Amino acid sequence: MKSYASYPSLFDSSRFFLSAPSTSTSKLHYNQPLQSQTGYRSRSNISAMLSTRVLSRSLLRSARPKSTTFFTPRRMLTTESIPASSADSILAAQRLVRPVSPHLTIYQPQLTWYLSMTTRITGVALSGVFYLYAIGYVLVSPFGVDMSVANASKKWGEFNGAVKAAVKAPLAACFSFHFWNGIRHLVWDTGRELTVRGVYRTGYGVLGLTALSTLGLLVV
Amino acid sequence: MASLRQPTLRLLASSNIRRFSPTIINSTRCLATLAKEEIVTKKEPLVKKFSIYRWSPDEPTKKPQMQEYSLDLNECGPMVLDALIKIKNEMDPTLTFRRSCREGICGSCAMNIEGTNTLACLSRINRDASSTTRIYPLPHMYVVKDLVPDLTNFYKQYKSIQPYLQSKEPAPEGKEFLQTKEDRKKLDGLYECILCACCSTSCPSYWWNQEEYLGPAVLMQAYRWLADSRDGKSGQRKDMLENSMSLYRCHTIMNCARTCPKGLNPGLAIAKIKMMMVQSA
Amino acid sequence: MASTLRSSAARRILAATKPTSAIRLLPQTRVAAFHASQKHQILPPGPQVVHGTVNDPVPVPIANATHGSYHWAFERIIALGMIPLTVAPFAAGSANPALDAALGTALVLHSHIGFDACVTDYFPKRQYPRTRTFMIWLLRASTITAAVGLFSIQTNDVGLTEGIKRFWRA
Repeated sequence: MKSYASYPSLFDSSRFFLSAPSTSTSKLHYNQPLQSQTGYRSRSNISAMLSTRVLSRSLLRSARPKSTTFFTPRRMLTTESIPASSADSILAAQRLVRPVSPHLTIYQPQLTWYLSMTTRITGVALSGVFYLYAIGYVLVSPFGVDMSVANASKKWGEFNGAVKAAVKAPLAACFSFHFWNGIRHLVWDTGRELTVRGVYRTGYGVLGLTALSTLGLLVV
Repeated sequence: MASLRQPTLRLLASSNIRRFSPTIINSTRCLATLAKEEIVTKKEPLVKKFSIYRWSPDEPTKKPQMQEYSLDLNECGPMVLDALIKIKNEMDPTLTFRRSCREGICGSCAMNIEGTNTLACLSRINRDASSTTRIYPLPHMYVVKDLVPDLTNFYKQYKSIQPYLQSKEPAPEGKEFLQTKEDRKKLDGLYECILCACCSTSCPSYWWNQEEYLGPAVLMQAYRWLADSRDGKSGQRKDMLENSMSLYRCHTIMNCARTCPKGLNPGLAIAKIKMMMVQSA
Repeated sequence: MASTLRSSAARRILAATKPTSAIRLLPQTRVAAFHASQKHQILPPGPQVVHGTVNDPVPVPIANATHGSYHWAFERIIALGMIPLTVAPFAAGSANPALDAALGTALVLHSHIGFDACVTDYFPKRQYPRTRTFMIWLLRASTITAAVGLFSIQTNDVGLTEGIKRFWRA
C-alpha cells in the first residue's frame, strides 16, 4: 500500500486516464465512486451534496502529518447550489443515458444456457418446417401447385443424395435433441436432477443420446 | 460512503513510515535488510493483464470501452478484488466498483469475471499470465459507472414479494413463533442468500424481461417465505406469481445455480414454487 | 482492503526504503473500443426508466391462473403426452388414425405454445406493443392455417405419421 503522495507523477499527467481525460488535478482527487442512487454531477457544477464529502476528506487530510503533503491539491472547484427538488429530474436524466452492460457476447459459454438455447432453436426449427409445409398445403394448393404428400415427397426424393443427407442430418439432430432434452426438462419439473451436478450429468447424457439417436434416425 | 473510509486505511497502511518519525527509520532499515534477504529468493514479477469495462456518466456520449491494466501478481493479494483495489489505489483512481466486506457476505462486489458472475472478493486471480482477465459489470444491467450496475429494479422486485413473516395470528404472548426442527430445515439453502444479484443477472430470461420477470434471486426468496411454516399468507404469495411474467419466464436454464457464489440453488427453489402452484391450483 | 493490509510487513517496508519501486509499477494501460456497442444489439432495451420512487415495490400483476399455473401444467401434460405419441407410431411401424390425430393435435398445440413463449420472451408488450400484437396475431393465424393444413393431410391425404415416413425415406 502506498499513499497517493508517493506517486506525484500520476497526478501531473493525464495520460493514464484515457477513458476520462482530466484537466485539473483537483478533479482526480475528488473523483470518488459515486453513490448509486443520487448519482453525481461533473466538476463544473458539483452539487452541494459533495461538499460534505470534501469536508470529511479535508478532515482526514489534516490528520496526516504536514510533512507528507509535499503534493498539495489545488481546489479548482466551483460549486453551484441545486435545490433538493431537482434531484429526481437529474437522476431521471442520468438514467436515460446509461448504457446496458454486455451480456450474450461476454457470458461464458456454459452447458446450462447453451443447451437451453439449443432446445429453443431446435424446437423452432422443427415446428417451423412443420408449419411451413402445413401452411403451404393450405395456401399454395388452390393455385394449382400439387402439395400432396405423394407428389412432394416424390419431388424431394429426386434430389441428390448428398443434399438429402445435408437436410436430413440436421433435422434428425434437432428432433433427437429436442426429444431428449424435453424429457430432461420434464424430469426437472418434478424437482429431480435439479442441482449443478445433476444438470451437467443429464446434460452430457442428453448429448450422448442425441448423437446415438441422430445416427439411428439417419439409418432408418 | 465506503469510499470515505479508504483514506484512513491508506494512511494507516502508508509505506512512507520514515516521513512520520525519524526514530522508526533505524528499525525500518534493519527489518528491510532482513526482508531483502528474504525477497532475493523471491519470484520474478508475474505481470498479469486485466481488461476492465469502463464507462463514465461524465461523458455519456462516449461508448463503453475496455481498459487494460497490468499488475505484478506477486505484489498483489490473491483475489480479483485485491487487484481492483490495487489498480484503483495505485494506477487509476477513477476506476469505480462497489465493495465492502471482502469476505463474500455483503454481495457488493458482484461482477462478471472471466465470463461468469461472481463476487470479486471470492474469486481467485487466474495466475496464468498469458491470459487476460476480463472484468465486466453484471450482464444486461444499466451501468451507473464502470463496474457499478443500477440495482434499483432488483430491489424494487425484492420488495414486491413482501420478504417478511406474515402470520395470521399474533405470536403467543411474550413468545416467538415456534417451528419444528424439520420445518426449520426447509429454509436451509434459502435464507443464506445475500442478494448479490449474480444469479438474476446470469439468467437470459432476466436479461430480456427484467422489468416483469422477478428473476432467480427474488423468486428464491419468494419460495423462502412460501416454505416457512410460520407464514400465513402463502395463498396471497402464490397469487402474486399467478401470471405469465413474474414466475413463468423461468425456463429452467440453470445459469443461476451454476453461478451462485454462495453455492445456493435458485433453480430448484423456482421448480418447487411451480410444483406448489399446481398442487394448490 | 483488509487483505491488502495483511500483505507482509516486510514487503511494505522494502517499498518504503526503495522509493524507485513506485516508478517500476507505472501502469501500462491500453484502451480498446468495446466490441458490443449498443448499435448492433438485437432488440435492445430502451433507456432506463424507473417508475415510482426507489422505495416503491414493482407492481404485482393481476392473478390469472390461465396464464400462470394452468398454462404451465397444460404445457407439461402435452409435452409428456408427446413422448409416447412420437415414439409409438414409428416403433409400431404403422399409423393408427386415432393415435395419428392425437399426435397431430399435440404437435400443433406444442408448437403454438413454444412459439408463443418466444413471442412473450422477445417481444415484450411494454417495449414493442405493436410488434407484439402483430406477432401474436401472426402466430394465431399461422397456427390455425397449419391446423387446417394438418387436418387435410390427416383426412384427404396419407396422414401425419405416414407422411413423415414417406418424406424421410424418399
